[in-house]
Amino acid sequence: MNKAFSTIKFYVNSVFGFSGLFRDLKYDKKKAVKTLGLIILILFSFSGLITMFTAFNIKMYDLLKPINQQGLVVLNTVIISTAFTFFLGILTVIATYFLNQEGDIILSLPLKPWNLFIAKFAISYLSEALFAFVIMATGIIVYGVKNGEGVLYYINSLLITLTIPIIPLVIGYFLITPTMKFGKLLKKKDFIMYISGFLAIGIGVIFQYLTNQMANFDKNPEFIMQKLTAPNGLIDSTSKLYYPAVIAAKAIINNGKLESFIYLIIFIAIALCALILLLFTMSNIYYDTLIGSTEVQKSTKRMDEKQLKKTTKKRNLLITLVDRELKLMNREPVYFINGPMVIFLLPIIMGASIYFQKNTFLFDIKKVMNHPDFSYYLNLISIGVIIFLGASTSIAATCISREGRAFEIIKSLPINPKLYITAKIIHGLVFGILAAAIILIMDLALFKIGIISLLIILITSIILLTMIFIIEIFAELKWPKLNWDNPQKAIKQNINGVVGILGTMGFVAIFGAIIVRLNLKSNWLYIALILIPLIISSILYQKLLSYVDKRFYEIEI
Amino acid sequence: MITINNVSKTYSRGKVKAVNSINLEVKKGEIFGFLGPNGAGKTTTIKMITGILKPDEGQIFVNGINVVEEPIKAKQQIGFVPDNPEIFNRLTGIEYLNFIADIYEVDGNQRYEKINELAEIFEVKDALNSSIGSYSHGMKQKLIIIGALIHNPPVLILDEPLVGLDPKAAFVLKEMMRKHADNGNTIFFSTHIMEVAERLCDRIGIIKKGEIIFTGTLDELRQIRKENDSLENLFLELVDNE
Repeated sequence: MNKAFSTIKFYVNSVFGFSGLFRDLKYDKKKAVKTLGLIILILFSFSGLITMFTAFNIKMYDLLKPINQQGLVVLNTVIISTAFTFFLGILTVIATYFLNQEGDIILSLPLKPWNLFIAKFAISYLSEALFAFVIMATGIIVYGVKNGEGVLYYINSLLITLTIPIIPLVIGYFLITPTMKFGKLLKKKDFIMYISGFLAIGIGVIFQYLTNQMANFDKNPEFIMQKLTAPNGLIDSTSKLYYPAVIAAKAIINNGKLESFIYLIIFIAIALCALILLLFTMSNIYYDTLIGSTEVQKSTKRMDEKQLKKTTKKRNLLITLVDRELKLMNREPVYFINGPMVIFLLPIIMGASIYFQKNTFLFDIKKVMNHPDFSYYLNLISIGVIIFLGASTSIAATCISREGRAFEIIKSLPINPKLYITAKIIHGLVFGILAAAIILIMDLALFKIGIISLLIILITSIILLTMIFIIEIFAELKWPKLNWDNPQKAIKQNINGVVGILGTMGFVAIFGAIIVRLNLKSNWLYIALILIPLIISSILYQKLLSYVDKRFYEIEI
Repeated sequence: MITINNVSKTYSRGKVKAVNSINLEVKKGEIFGFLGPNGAGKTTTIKMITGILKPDEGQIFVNGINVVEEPIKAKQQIGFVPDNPEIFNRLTGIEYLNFIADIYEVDGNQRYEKINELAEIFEVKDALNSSIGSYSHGMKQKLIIIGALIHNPPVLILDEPLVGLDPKAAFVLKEMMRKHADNGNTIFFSTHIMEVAERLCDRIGIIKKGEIIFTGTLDELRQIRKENDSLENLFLELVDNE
């Protein structure tokens, strides 16, 4: 048992770096503040979700209170939270299935398969527990405050919340572990990463559907409520499908009664039994897949003299550097899924959103297309979307961090820092242009925009993106995150990347708000949107070149 | 030629002195072995010569070019093999070599001949089309060595180059180092294998706790210690006693 605890501790620390954070709090306060800032920023990104769920629960409570059915708010929250932890859990199970830290040394240690399996389970559990906590809080607090519940209610709810992710994750591992083993996927780590990327699209689409349902709540609350609460309605049928949700809800609602305590014990017992069953039946299969994962796949494509001669051609230095950037980003699944793929992913989710509202959307579109300022606003919205997509790739915002320890190799080579950084801007712009192309094709297909509008959107968005990329690269040069053991840390746990996306969102939102508030409707705005960022970008680019010339040599790992 | 004048380097904001006011000169046509216990400052010194780290004090010249003041020019002179061969795992072997050759501005014919010759000698030609991530430690090491030699550098710097190499590749590399030095180039390498240093080096330098405690030939070391012992024993005595 001790070995299992030590393994869990080791896994959790190496993935989440808790002990590193505590050490930093003691010895390196600046670094600790940065880490805490990143955590707060990530939590901030949940704020939209929290507001939406809370508003929904408040309305739901008010509608159900008169018929004394307000407990359904809790049941509904438990179901949503379970569904979320199940779908996101599958992604987490895949993403954490093979960890970089888990090399030959771990496999050579005298650990039982279940020790390793429970440690891996603990990692998935912690991230899902956070999700469950956020979603559950929206329903539990609304119900608790409105019903005037006491401390015991919140303690009860917390215990239930922490237990919720266990069963969905157990089901997730029951699905994924045999798939890895018998689907012979264990040697195709990259393939698995891409599959999880596509699953993320699916989850995004489902989430979009749910959001639209909640948004429609305002228009026809009684109808939606009936759909949810009627016999054989959504809540009823889901709870029949997954009865533990009803037990969990009863444990919370019947607070203060012995019944509540019994339900709590039953719910925890079911979760623990499920976990034990998983460990008992799947540990050996999991262990087999881990052993298989350390085998290396080699290409059998041999190179003959002719091919070698053909490939060994001298190229322009800038092209070489851009080519390296593209290859390293596009071939690393973690980078590709969280970077360039966003350009394809977000339009698909947006498309799904339009599809779910197609009746109202087409009606609204026909109405606004007749508006005299339609094309003016369409141009501005398109520019905003392209900028957001371009910045969401995190290409520029994580450009130095992604080098990791290989930055030392780069530094040992006679590379001109100015050229090196210019290649990084071009890399970002390649995908900026691709984002522009996708949006412009959508504009052409849906709204048949003219060539002048097309050029205005393209030029403005690319210039604005250049300005944003330069600012992001300044931040990367100043605070690069080069010391990492897992590429996820360079892109997903990098404060520069998070600030880059949120900052650009803020920039687009503030700019949009100013234009709408001040009712700016002049073609001069386009000229300003091109000229001002063009001047700023030129000045910043010059500043960046002189900064990188000095800073490049100062960065040490 | 490598000249190191009064070079110091500290870590953790001056709390840890990794290298303390060291002076060294490695001549043209010479193989210089850099020895020392773990954590003595070998890799830090090598990283400063190659421009990866910036010295806090002092100056380093590679063939008369100041590494800090003219880094690009100085690095053009160097071929470098780091101690850890973890490099761009997502590139294929040939892509990596072409990238390095482009950076050193090696023309098409010369790079083809060099890659062809060295890949054949180190027996990695069949793997050039595979991604570096699928290579073994030794194969990665071989690829980096080919990359370091692709522009025929006047100064070759190697940090523990023999770690992970099979006996044949290790033999080939030692032969190559000798030949490269005999052609008038400078070789600076760190190692823990005393037999290699004893057989291969024209001169050695021993560093301990960031300070150079000996530079000279093996005979000079024997004269100082007044013992006709192996380098291994002399090294152990020197490091323990100093």
